[in-house]
Amino acid sequence: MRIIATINDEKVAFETEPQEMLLDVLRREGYKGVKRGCNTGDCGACAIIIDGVVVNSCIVFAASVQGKEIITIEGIGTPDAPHPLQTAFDEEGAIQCGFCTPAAIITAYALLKHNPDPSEEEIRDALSGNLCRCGTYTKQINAIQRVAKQGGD
Amino acid sequence: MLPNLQHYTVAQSVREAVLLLTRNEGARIIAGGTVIARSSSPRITQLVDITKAGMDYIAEDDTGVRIGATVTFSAARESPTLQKVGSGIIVQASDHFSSAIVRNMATIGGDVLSPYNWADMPPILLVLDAKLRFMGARELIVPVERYAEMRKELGLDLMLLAEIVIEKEAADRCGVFLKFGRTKSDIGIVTIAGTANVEGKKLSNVRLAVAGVTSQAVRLPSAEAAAEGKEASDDVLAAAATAALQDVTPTSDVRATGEYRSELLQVAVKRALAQLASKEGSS
Repeated sequence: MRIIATINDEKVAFETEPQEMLLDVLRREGYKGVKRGCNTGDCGACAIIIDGVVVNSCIVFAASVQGKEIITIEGIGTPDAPHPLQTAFDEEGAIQCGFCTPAAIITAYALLKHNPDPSEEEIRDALSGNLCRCGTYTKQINAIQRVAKQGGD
Repeated sequence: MLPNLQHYTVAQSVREAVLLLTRNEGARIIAGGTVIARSSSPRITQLVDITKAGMDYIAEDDTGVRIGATVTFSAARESPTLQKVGSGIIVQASDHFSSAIVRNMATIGGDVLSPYNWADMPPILLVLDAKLRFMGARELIVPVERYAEMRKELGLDLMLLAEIVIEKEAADRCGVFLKFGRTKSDIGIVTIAGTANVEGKKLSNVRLAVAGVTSQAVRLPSAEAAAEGKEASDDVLAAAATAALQDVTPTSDVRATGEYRSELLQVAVKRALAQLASKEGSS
């Protein structure tokens, strides 16, 4: 079946089978910043934003996104023009192996859109679905607070 | 992965969803998807997505509160209407439900019908005397208390859960929700919900229900009776805690032994009743 959706502000059409998950389709279409971790909706490595809401793309059927707006890490910033969150994650040491980083930044991006001045508790809660096995949580929080202080995104 | 899935259909109304569901015996409902996306059932040939079918409302009138089946835990957590139901126990449970991302996806309706014995909504709805409105070839209203026994007999698995109805009398009672888990968002080892009317410090119309203790969420009638019409004195709490073990025999699993759960269950009953008694008046 043919799906047309907006990905990172660009109208995109792709073919999918009914049983395919959005994570698989996104990676096949070249959005490799979306990572496969647990593949059961628990670790948050595949988090993306659909219509303003952070979800785990490994448990979203690709066929469900017809007409929807999707944001992946590729739509947040580039190596040449990084988003302030990406710069802050880098400079605060919130990246170790880096596998969870794209999704953690996606979560932080959605949080700051919704709540430009979050408390530490709100940041911790927002990140509760993004597991980081390197344990960079504290530094992620520092990075997000720094961006919030600078005036959000 | 669902190996035989041939169709994924987004229903635009409850009526359309019901039609699709009754036309194909391999059709199943999907809303948040957090359970069914992990399924590998060969029987499922069609998924009927109900997230656009107009069931994401929380409505209140003189008779009580109705919660559409596709309301997410994130939406429930922010709901001022649900804050008034049973001292806000649905809001509290939503706050403690899994992670922020899963709360954006998982729905209240999905949790009610969850195959997991630790699901949070069943004990809460038991103590709120909630009713479930199912749609199919006909409409059925099923009290939550009777859902498990009537599920097979009435073919509820092949019907659409449209909404949860909580009557005003129950919504106005004081409520308490306690989940004992390793972390805030973890699955409960013992989860307890309670409601009661509180006058002075005296409890009446007491309801207690637990999840995660045995194969499904259950009321604790003996524990309720031990506290009915009484103040939450140490003696009453101790009697209710002991009585709870007549209502349910806690089982062992990877999270805890039955012995540990038995101890925890008694603590849960005492704390739930003590907290209810401290909530003077209605919710």
